[in-house]
Amino acid sequence: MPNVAMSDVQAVVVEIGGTPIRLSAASDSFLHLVRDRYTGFLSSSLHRGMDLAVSVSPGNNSTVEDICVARYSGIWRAERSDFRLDWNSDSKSGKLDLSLNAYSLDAALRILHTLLLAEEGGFLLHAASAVRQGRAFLFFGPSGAGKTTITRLALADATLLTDEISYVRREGLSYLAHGTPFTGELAKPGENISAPIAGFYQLVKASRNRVTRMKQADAARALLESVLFFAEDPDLVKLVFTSVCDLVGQLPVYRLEFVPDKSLWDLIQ
Amino acid sequence: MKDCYIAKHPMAASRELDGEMIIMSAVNSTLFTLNDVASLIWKSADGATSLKEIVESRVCAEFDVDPSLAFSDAETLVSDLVKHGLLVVAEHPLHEPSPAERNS
Repeated sequence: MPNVAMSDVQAVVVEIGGTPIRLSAASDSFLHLVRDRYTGFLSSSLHRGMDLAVSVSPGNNSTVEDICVARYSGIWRAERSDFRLDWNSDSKSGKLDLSLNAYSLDAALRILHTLLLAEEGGFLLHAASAVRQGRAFLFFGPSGAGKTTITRLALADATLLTDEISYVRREGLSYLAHGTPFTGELAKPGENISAPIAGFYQLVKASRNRVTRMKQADAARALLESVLFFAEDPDLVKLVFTSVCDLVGQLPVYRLEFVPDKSLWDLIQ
Repeated sequence: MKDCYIAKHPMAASRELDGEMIIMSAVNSTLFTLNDVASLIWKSADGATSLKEIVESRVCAEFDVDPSLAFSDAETLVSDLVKHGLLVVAEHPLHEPSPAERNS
């Protein structure tokens, strides 16, 4: 394989959740994939962001294996058969070696954002989210709970942030939800906007519509089950636990029993 | 079980929310919920106050329970929490009480 000169390395900046990450690579195919996959989440300034040097390997394209995430001497390593991510939290830079496919890159970026958010009191959540009248509403639950259903039924004045992975960021005492490109069944990226979070709704399919505010401890338990979490690192586990407990003291969390029709949106205030 | 001293394990994170204590093991992310009596014992687990003293001066003072039965239940609770890696237990004080603990 010929040596790759520095001039052959190009970069593209992907900005999710207001966090720009500069992906540099010598592979045109990879850069094309990034531009195509993250349309709407690309920054026009190539000189911003944390640095992630990417190399592409033929590798294994299997994406079904478990991800192993651990910290060694201050360096995070996330590894699956189709990618390996090394991230230095202090220098805010890292290396990513992956197979050339969007699923591998999505998985690596989700893990990286999980690590970055945890240090700031935020997290990624298995949740659909949408903005209405300047306020964000998040609907969380496992696969099959109705995240895609509720986004399909969204009213015309709602802007979709995601139908699958919500981005929750803490700013002082308030919390913002950001749009993400991470999609579920809808296969439609969210809008790259953010809004203050008005409330969380645990989705429960039922024979009637009803919304009930949850006690804080129940809310924390329910949210913790839906937080995306990969690393078995005790310090990080504590950070996420603390973040969720802080959040339920600030924001309402509801249990939303619903039938799948547009009337359920009448309950979302 | 003889009298003992108990302290929260460094790998346990806890928070009281609306009067309900939830604990997470930072080792395996398992969540636990404590009832009122267990919560009081957990909050009193400072490594400096003996279990017997916790039961007599705090649990029995706050709840209408028989002291010997309360101590037996406390032993069972401690045993469970130790098994899950949430508490550490020792025959002697694990550290000197802080001024705040001494005055509480």
